[in-house]
Amino acid sequence: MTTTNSDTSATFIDAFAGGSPLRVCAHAVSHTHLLRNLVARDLQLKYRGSLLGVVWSLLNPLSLLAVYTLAFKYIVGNTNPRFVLLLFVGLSAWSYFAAVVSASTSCIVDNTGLLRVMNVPRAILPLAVTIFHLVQHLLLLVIVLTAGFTVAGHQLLLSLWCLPALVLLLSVFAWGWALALSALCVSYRDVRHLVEVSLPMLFWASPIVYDIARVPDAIRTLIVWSPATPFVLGYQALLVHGQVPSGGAWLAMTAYALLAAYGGLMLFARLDRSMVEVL
Amino acid sequence: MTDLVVVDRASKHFEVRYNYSPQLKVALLSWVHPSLRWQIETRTALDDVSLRVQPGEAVGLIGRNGSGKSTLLRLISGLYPPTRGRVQVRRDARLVSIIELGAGLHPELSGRDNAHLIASLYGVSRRDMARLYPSIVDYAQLEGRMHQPAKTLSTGMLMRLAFAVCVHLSPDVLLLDEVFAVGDDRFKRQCIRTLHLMRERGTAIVLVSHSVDAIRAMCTSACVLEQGRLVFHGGVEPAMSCYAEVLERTALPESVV
Repeated sequence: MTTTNSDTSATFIDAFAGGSPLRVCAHAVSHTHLLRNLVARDLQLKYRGSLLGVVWSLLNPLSLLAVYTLAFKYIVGNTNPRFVLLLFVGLSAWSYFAAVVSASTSCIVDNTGLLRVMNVPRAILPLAVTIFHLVQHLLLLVIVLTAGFTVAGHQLLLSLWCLPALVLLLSVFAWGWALALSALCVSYRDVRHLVEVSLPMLFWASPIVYDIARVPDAIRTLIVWSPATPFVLGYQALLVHGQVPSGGAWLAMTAYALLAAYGGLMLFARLDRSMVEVL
Repeated sequence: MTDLVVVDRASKHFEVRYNYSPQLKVALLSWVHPSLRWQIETRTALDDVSLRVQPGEAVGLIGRNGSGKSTLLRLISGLYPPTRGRVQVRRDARLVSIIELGAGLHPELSGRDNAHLIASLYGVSRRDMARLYPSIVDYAQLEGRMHQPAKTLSTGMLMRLAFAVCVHLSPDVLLLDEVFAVGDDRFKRQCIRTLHLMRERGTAIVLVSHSVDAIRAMCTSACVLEQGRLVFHGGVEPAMSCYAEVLERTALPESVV
């Protein structure tokens, strides 16, 4: 009789398959077809399959680059010869993070129709958003690298091997935020507005349009510990100066990425249990 | 024979919120302004229900509005966890459900893309879907309409599409909630024939319906639910007379307008 019992527990699983961080992770890995279809659907709905769509997605960082170059090189008068490249590299990292965060916040809420009737692994939606923007980030990086080689020459090549690690860390970091914010937005719909207000503040708290060395000591700590700073500095070190980021920089990026992923997973798993009921 | 679905003493309580606004702003302000605080009332949607479903069995769930039929179906489909008790499905079983009209179809996407999206939600690969697709279109009788956005199809057509996709996924457990309410008679007959065929091949079906005829035509057993409790589970005909008693018990209101 006991063997039958253990058999039963081995062959049956709870119909509700969510609510634990491990399962959230497992779903993300096991549903590759779904993931591909969701990313494809997002691309399709956004751009209606047009080739121009790719251009549109690159236009945002490029237009920012144009505006900030005009303002800070020609009006304020920044004399750093590599200012435009520094700006471009910083913006590429930032725009990836910002796009994931702002798009993912409503990704659960926007799919209410689907989630209310179908047992979709909900955690896959923020991942789909992250991957969707990762594709665009990689496209932008091709342009960034072209610009980098033109300005900085071949010294970039030597340390380029660690670019994938950098992209991965930034992706994990953005994914963690995507998980947390998308789950929070179900219970608190105005998180969206909070994100819209916070992103520009976070942008100016990161050394993208200014040099961190010129920040006054009084607010320096704030800038150094600002969440996007290590990633911006890491990108700039690698893609402008051709230097492998320092050990401390790697440590900061890894810590931020893991912290965001851990916090995001825990929060998502916690809110996942009642998510469909609240939607 | 082994069970496919086990519902073991499951209860489901919902939190009904009054004065509720899902906003951070309100949550923070309610510390200062108690009038903004939302009240939570617990409603028991399902109370201590047990049910086992075996391969080749078609169980009909019948009961008045709000008796818990749909909640039970949603628990089995895994949309939310039970408050108490256990709802389990065999690990290797593919569970497919049509819970609501349209079954999560995206209005902007074409019928074709919707079909692929649903299939991928159930883990069907692109290659398998390419093989199944012509048969799905044929079954739904939507040739020439599949490239159009779903919002331009009628509700009946959407249901045909959703049903066609779901039965082609060769499910082990099929959960259906009022699928036949919108289809025409021809489609109903087609559904009944398909469901019989699937059942003979070993698919377990759980069907929610208000239509006594639909349950008679398709089910091998039936459950009657009343106010969240399972009051009868057994043969279809005894269940129907039990359901008739349930309806008798609640007298019609005096006013007619």
